[in-house]
Amino acid sequence: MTTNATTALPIDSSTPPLHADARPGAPLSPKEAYRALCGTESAIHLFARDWWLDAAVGPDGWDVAIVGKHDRILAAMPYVVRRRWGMRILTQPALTPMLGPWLHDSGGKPAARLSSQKEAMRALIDQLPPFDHYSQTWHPDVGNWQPFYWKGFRQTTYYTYTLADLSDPDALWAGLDSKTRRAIAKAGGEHRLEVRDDLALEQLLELNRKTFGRQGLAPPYPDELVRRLDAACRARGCAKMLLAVGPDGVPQAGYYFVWDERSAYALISCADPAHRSSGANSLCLWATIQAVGRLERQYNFSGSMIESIEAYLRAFGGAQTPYFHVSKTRSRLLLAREGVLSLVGKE
Amino acid sequence: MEAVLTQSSKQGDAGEARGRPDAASAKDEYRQLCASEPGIPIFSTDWWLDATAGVDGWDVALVRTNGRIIGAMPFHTARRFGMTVVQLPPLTPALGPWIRSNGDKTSTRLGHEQKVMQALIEQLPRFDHFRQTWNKDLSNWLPFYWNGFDQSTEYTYVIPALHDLDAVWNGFDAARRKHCRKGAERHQLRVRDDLSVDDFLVLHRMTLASRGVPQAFTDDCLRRLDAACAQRQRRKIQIVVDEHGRACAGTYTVWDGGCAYALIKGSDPEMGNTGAPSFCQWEAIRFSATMAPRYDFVGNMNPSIEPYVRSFGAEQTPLMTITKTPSRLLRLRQGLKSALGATAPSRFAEPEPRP
Repeated sequence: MTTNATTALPIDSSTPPLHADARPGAPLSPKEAYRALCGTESAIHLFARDWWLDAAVGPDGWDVAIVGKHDRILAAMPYVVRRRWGMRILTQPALTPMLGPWLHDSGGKPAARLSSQKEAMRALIDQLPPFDHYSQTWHPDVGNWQPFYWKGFRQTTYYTYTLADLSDPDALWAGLDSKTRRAIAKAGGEHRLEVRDDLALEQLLELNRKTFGRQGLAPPYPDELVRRLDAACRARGCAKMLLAVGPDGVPQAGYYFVWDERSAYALISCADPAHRSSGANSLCLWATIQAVGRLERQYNFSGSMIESIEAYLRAFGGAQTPYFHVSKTRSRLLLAREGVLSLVGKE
Repeated sequence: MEAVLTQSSKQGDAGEARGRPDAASAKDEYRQLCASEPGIPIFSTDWWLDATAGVDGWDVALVRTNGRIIGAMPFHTARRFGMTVVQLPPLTPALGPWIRSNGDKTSTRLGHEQKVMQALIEQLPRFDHFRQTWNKDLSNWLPFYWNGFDQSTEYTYVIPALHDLDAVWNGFDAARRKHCRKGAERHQLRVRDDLSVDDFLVLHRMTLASRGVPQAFTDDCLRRLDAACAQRQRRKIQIVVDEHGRACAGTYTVWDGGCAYALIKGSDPEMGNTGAPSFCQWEAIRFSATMAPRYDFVGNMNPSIEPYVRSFGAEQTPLMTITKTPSRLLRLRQGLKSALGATAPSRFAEPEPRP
């Protein structure tokens, strides 16, 4: 493997991808090439698709590093650029659980794959515009961050839960913790909760505000963002919202999930703390899992590292699945700030 | 967690609260566990730690239920600049918690593991800095996250299926296979297994000298470890000699029931073009296949290692390094980092291999 076997696109690498918007008569910009790729490459996960990023941050709010060979894209890494205190931060949008690099699967022996991953990742890093801070969580399928280590990045491991095989509802039910099974049965029985998929998004948003409001918090993303993502997903038929509604017609818990060709992902989960004991949340998540099973997708619970939530999700029988958070801080000012924050315990 | 006996429940005062008599018995109990439990990795066994950390240089956190040990976490404590540092002993690539499998379904097993880990963490002594690389079969650090530890993923390189040596050989790069054959045929290389650890050390020192890397362990430490391993038939020294009987390259292999490890290597730089290091490596792998199902190159994050081990068809395998620097020391963090070496090698420094 030689380093020049893989050449970065565009040929004119002096043009930073950040500003490489379409010009009349010019060859495809990285973003245009990436948009075309997203239309054909089902292995690019949902949150890295061009239309998702358009909906999340606007068509000008993101850009992408791409690496290609013979006009074929072999690797890509979209990112969102934020400016804070005059510094440039490469990150991912709100309500977007993961982004990170996508690598074409070269096939072959593990050793050969490793080698092509290394070349592709190195070239991706070289394509990034100058930045003060990089921070992204990656898809669980990307388990090799070593080329980023060699370029001074840092990494830590988070976990989510995933269900790979949802084809057998009986097996799924048997995989649930017995307490969870009881909670689900009770929710549908004693508490007479009903799961509905025909309610308006606004009802989920209201419930979501309630969920955060009871903890004295506002949702960490605006309603408008949810509406934009919802519209984009509905147009492509890849989102569903389920609400567990009490006999009084009031929603007690809700799940909003989205999917691509391989997997469905939990996006929003909310529950009215006033009805915590009704099992509404468990009922709703169980209905979500069943719905994903009918879609013939895997399910990613999208979390969680929070102790109480982790225990709750674990009870649904998924496999603990590691994924990476990768970061790099170039700015001395930001490094100093991180140091101070860790000193006062707010890392 | 009531069922789990912990002698102290508050982190930080556990070391003191445990008291000497209990500490002594915990270690004795752990020694018995090591004798009866083949699932404990070789680097975590009492006799390995005696040799590398010294009999008084290590301790162990234990979790019991109904008098039976269900979790154990040995650790080596050193004093550095007046601070207590928990770290890996010399010549020890990995440690980490051992948890008795309870064979339940996934969610129950994970919950069990996490409870045991929490109890183990509570038994750790007070420390100023903690750094442990864990053995590759451990993949869950959540309870450590909840207790303020940090984690990062490193990689080692493993040949997974030693039972099929033909497939292993065919997994080598063509160039690597040629190196191995060339060595054996053209230079009439042969492998000897009757030479001593001091003969091996001569080769290891040559490698270090040619790279300008300091030796990461004392000769006596390796001799102690060698005696302990030899007594238990857990090590093999293989030294390749040429037609004149001159030592060209050597490997020092240790193993447990789960894996063989390329603990240390050495070679004479002048004999590098004979293919002896490749031949010796192949011989070590061939021998390991008679002892364990996997062969671990004990790689680290050094960029030059990856192409070398890749040529042997080894698979990149993640390992976790767990760290924590409690707040009292954070003010001195930068100073500590530079004092310990900014990269703070988690495993002993193995010299870069030569292609």
